[in-house]
Amino acid sequence: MGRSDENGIIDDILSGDSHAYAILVRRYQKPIYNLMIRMTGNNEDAFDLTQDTFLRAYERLEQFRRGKSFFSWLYSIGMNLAKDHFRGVRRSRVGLDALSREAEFDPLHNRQPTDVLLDAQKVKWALTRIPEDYREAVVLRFHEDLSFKEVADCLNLSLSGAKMRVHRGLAMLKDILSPGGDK
Amino acid sequence: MMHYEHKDEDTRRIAGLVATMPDAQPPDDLINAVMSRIRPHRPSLAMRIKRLLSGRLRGAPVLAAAGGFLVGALLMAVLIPLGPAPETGTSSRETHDVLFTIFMPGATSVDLVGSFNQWDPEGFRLSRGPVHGLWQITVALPPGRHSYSFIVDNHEAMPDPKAPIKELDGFGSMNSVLILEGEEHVEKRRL
Repeated sequence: MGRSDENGIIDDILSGDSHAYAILVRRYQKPIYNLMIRMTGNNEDAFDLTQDTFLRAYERLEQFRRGKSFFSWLYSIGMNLAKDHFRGVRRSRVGLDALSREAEFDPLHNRQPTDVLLDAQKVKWALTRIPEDYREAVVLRFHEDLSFKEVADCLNLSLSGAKMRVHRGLAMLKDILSPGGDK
Repeated sequence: MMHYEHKDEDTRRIAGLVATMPDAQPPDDLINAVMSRIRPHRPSLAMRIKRLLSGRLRGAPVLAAAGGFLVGALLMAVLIPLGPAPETGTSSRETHDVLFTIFMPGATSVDLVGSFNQWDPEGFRLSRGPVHGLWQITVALPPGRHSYSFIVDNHEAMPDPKAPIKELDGFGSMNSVLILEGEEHVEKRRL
């Protein structure tokens, strides 16, 4: 993800053309909003945190290093904001439960006797059952189609750390979706 | 396109399903909600210079060896307040004539930009001084705090190496800071 025109857009913004920022908001609102949905499990908090992410990025735009991926930088800001949002508060099981309902999948009643249960909704549900750092690594790699390097930048990891998170995240998903996997 | 091989078909299928998960659509008013809360950035010195270079100064000659000679150059600058200047007909504000100098023997041009000229080098080109390599310009400035920098060969922004106060310009570069006291303060100090 990322476009070659972004340095020019950022130059325009930093030169005082604040309207140019709408291009970047439009371009990345969906992945950031979906990140916040995954993190909070409710639309209102996701809406607020998405706004906060773009506003924080705007305020700190001068710190953005050229040549880097703007999306990775934006995503890391969003991850930190979402974690700050829940810091000191027990991880919102309400949010995860809401996502589970959205997935309309109860593994205790729908598990097949053999084979891994696979469809997109089940995978979406399973993602709510793994730690967020592993979940986001898998989502960024396969859903957002980022390179491992970009995944590493988004999550402030080394390249090997990003690969490890993706591998282990996939393994966790497989365990959950396998018969007897949901505990 | 996967960059590594999964050990089994299930894992590969899971990765494929993650790729095709449906996304939630962000609310229609999200962009407006963000845009209504931002204010235009004030361009940094680096951005102002970049704009100048990409526009009016783009055609100006740039020495390819500028970076190299800068490394080895002996940089020297002196800032000499020359006392209050006569008031002009258009302003009753007290001003000081300030001599800006910098020693840059390899430069072909040096301009002065700062808060006092809105970072626009037009009309603020330094002339060659009495010593080879010395550049200088005298500017009438009012008392107060002034940020400034030199532009060497139309493209290399650098702070005054002799200025005691420097500050970040918010874009990774440094500006020099000059604080000029008013005549009242000078008189009080003398007392």
